[in-house]
Amino acid sequence: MWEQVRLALRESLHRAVFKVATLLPGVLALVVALLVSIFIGWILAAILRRILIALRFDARVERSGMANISDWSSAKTPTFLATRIVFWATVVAGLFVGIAALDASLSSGLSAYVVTYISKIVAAVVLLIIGTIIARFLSRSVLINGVNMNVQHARLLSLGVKWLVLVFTAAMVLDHLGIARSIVDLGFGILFGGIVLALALAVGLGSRDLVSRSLERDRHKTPADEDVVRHF
Amino acid sequence: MAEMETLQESKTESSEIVPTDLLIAISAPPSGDTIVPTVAKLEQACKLLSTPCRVVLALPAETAQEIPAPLPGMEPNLPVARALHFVNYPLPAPNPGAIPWLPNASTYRALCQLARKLNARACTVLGTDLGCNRDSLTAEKLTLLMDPAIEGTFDLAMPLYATQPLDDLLNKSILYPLTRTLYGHRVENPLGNELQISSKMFAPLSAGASQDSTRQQGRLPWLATVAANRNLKICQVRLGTRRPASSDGIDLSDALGQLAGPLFLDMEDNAAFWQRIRGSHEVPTFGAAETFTEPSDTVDVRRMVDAFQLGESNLRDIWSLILPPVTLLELKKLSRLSADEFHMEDALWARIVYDFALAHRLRNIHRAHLFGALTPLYLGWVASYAVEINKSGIAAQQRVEQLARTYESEKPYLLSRWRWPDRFHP
Repeated sequence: MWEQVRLALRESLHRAVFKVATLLPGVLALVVALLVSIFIGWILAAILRRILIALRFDARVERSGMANISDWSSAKTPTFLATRIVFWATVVAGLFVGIAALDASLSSGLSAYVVTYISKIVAAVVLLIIGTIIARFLSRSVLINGVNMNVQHARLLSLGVKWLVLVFTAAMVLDHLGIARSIVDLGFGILFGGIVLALALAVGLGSRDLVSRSLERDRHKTPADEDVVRHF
Repeated sequence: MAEMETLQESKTESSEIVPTDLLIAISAPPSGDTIVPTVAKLEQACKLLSTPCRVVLALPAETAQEIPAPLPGMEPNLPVARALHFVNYPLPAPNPGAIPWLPNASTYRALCQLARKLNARACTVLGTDLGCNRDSLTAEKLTLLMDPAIEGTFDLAMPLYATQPLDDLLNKSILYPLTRTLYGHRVENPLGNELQISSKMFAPLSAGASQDSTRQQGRLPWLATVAANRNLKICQVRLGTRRPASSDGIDLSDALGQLAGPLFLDMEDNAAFWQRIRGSHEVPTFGAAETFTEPSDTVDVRRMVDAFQLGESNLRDIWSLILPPVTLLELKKLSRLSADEFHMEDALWARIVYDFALAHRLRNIHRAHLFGALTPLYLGWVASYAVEINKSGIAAQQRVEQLARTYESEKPYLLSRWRWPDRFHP
């Protein structure tokens, strides 16, 4: 009996060592593929940067009217954006090659699954970035316009808009990744519905005073600065 | 209508209309009741010209359709024999959302192209203020606006209006002092609607037509800048008092963006030129000085100070992306002052404008946000200016001159910030 146990253990150990030995070249290939792709990506990005600078790409993009798109992000130039896209595309391609090598050594459907999921992750990251940019843009718009309209709680409004967009983005990202989809749907529905209801109640209950104050202000309006000061 | 020719006709029958000495162009569609007296005045003005010359009046193409038979209707009002010839030109469509009375770069391009076709020596442009300033714009003043380039002494004649102390404040606070500091010419109305340009200006002003991009469409014609860049001669012509343009429905932030934005864009394009300019000099000015006879109104600045204080408490984070810490600290101190003692130093205001011009170039924040963030600061300066005018009784012109000199003395700050933007950055 002990002989059988020993044999089983030896076979198990043999299988494990065999698996690791099969996996190791794949892992090594993954690492090498990743390093090579980073190197190639860096070289390609550097070459592209030189070419775009020589072609005055930023100025051309600005003249073509596409500058409005870059306005949504901060101080990044179109050249910077293009070189980053090339760099990361090369790295992702290298990652795919590495995973394919790993998959061949594992002889399983991991590669197809990972590739599918990575594409989802990439889309989710893009969603997250766009959502964050839109949240920042809208929050600043609300804050600045609110201040210029003499809204005392402009900062609160801007914060509300920012978090509304961020929560909306987070729900979209999680839904896209398929993580706790039902919980996200339910939670987001409750949260969003709650916010809308709260706003409706706040406006409904608070607007009476607001309207009366506004009317009162108009009634007692004296010749104000805008009647005397002319900006142009 | 016999003498009215379309632009298309002028192409085919150019031999009939050359040589033209002076092209007078109405740069906005005039209403039916202003065109008749305007033409009468222009005919009178032509008679008063120091050098007799052939004058062509260019009217927007819409005018002929909108006004039923304008020329026969004018006949009874014309006190002198006809001295004008007429031509129509297609008025470019205004930019959607643009302030209606703002001079349009594409209009000037169209006019310069027409003037070149007609081989004109000069072009006098009469803008949208023609209707509301009908009484103040006499034939004698119009003559002043037709003579300089025809005599060959100047290449650009800009208008100089007499305004109330609390009128035209965007020009007084930003446009005039900034253009003067940048380009060294003391042209008080750099965006005036009535002006004259010589044939030397036609080529540079028509050049933008080929670069028809959104950047070009948003441009305003900074003629004084164009002239200064080419070392052309500039003068000013006093055109009397000017009624303020209508500001109904125009948001102040939008107006700031539409007026200061193109100037900031010009700063980017002409950086190599204006960085070499030091100080400024007077430009020759023609015509008798006029002042408003009625006393100026006093203004309650509390609302403007409130707007500034609200901005200071809410927009500090956004301002910190644009302004250095020292300026933020000064603004914080300023926000604690009451309306009566509110005073923004000219140097502080000049540095703020310079910092915003730099932020416009660096795109630290979205450009629409940039002018929104500038609005409370601008209102702060207006409040400070109004308090000073009310309290000290200082003449507005003197006060604006003082501000412009401060802009000039702060120019080294602009140069440092422009050349090494990261050095001061928070």
